Amino acid sequence: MKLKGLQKTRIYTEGPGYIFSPAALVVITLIYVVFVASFDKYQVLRLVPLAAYPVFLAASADVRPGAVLRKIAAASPVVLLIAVWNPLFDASRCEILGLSVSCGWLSFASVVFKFALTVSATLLMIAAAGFDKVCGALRALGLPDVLVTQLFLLNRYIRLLLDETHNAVRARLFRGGRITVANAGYICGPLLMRSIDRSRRIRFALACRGYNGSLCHENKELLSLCDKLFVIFWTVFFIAVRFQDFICASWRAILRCLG
Amino acid sequence: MHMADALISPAVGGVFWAASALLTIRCSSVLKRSDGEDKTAMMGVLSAFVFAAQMINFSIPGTGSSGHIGGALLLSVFLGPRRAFLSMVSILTVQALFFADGGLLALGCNVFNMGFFPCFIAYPLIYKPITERIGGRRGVFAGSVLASVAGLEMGAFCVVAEMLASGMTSLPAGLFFSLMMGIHLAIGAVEGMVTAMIIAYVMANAPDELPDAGAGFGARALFFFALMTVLLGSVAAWYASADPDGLEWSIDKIKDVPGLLLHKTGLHSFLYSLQQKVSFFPDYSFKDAGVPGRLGTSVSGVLGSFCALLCAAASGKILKHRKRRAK
Repeated sequence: MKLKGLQKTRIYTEGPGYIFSPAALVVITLIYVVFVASFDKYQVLRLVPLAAYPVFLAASADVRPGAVLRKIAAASPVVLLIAVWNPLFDASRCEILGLSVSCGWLSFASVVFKFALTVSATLLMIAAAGFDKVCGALRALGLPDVLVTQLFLLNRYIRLLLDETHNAVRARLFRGGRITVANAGYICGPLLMRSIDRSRRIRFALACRGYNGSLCHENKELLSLCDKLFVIFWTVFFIAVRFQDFICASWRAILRCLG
Repeated sequence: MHMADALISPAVGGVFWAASALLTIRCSSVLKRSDGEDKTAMMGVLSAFVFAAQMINFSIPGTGSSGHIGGALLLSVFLGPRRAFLSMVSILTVQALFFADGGLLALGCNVFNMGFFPCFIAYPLIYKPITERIGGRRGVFAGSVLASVAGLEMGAFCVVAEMLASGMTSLPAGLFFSLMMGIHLAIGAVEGMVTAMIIAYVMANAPDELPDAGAGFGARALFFFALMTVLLGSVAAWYASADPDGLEWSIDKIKDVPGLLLHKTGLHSFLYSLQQKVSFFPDYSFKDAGVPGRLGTSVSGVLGSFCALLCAAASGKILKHRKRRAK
């Protein structure tokens, strides 16, 4: 991902808060990802009903679909590069809804669709709940304090250091030079030393404010009744989609209606 | 090298989640006991530095392509392997949550491939011994390049194995392995060079900033691996495939070829009969047919591991003795 692309994180601007708790969102998103990944590589049509969850999240959290789609497109080349070999090496054919299709293309579509579903659910979880609240939920769910503090600090300083890095790279390019292996050390080295200096100042500042090893103090009840119902509803829906082929059943019903 | 959720199965993702979670908990508890908060800020800021430095793509001369630093080895040098591992966990988590680079289910795989190998294998077993032995800038360059290549190659190998085990790709295993290992050999070499240049820059301008990060494995870690060896040798071995391995399969296919003689010539038949006499556990089971097969498998697995340990320890002793004599 390009440097300037990283700074476009507008969809993560902290909002007024989501109707369900971050812990409920984390739990249900994890369950969702496992259910999506559990489908066979040829079961592309059976994945379609699972798109309901990210659509619901985007609508209820008021996130613009364009912003999520741009992020998915930016991260997709690696998955496309791996999935594109499937049609070349898998020439067998199978029948779907009465049509004979190439299994390779089916598995390609399945991988790409799974990628879109899992990535959109993850991004929307952060967009809906906010990173800090997700970190608080992770801590409440048992993630070690050291790691949660680390995630907090990393989130705080990424943008700061990205700005510095951006300036260093721009200065180099404006002087007419290119960044090569030979001079990469002279760009990254000073950046590293400035980062170490900054970490020292932060350490003193934290110590002055009575830092006791944890930056997260949220200790609210994990899941309310409403959150539990939210998790149960979506889990039942995922189980139903996993064990029942709604698309085929609908297709058969349509054919029956048409006579 | 980031794996996406769409490329792995829940079984593979779950196994690596468990492995990475165990490592994370272990590192966290050790760090919690070891010191206070004096390095917490440094961990956070250096993780952000690695995150930002990964965005600096430098052109690779003569190839027309570009690369960037990996970061795990650099973090290990400045923070030590455990802190570096936790920093990599946080970097990969943020990349998955914010930038769709990786995934929630694939997080365990990514942490293992890009955190465990460079922090706990490449740094303590390759980088440190080389830099200590050669010393100076040359040592840093040799250590960085070799450790980066080894760490990346191990990670790339694991990526292919995880994807093939998940069954999401139709790429033939041989082709996939050769493509991934080949490209990561070049990437690892360039990453190693840039990492070495950064360390050399700090060495030249602020040598006090380079700490002695300490070893990656302690007595408890050795105990853990010993326990895992016993469990794998005694229990997991029961579930090993009974099918012939690649070499046995090939021999089996060609043994009826006219003119090919197996165990029939003088030296071959002598060695074959010798092997039959000295092997205590033929085909990993007792010679006595009355003993249950699983017991034979377990005993041969544990004894075999113990013999391998003895051989390795004896070789180490001999080499140490020879080194002392040479001095």
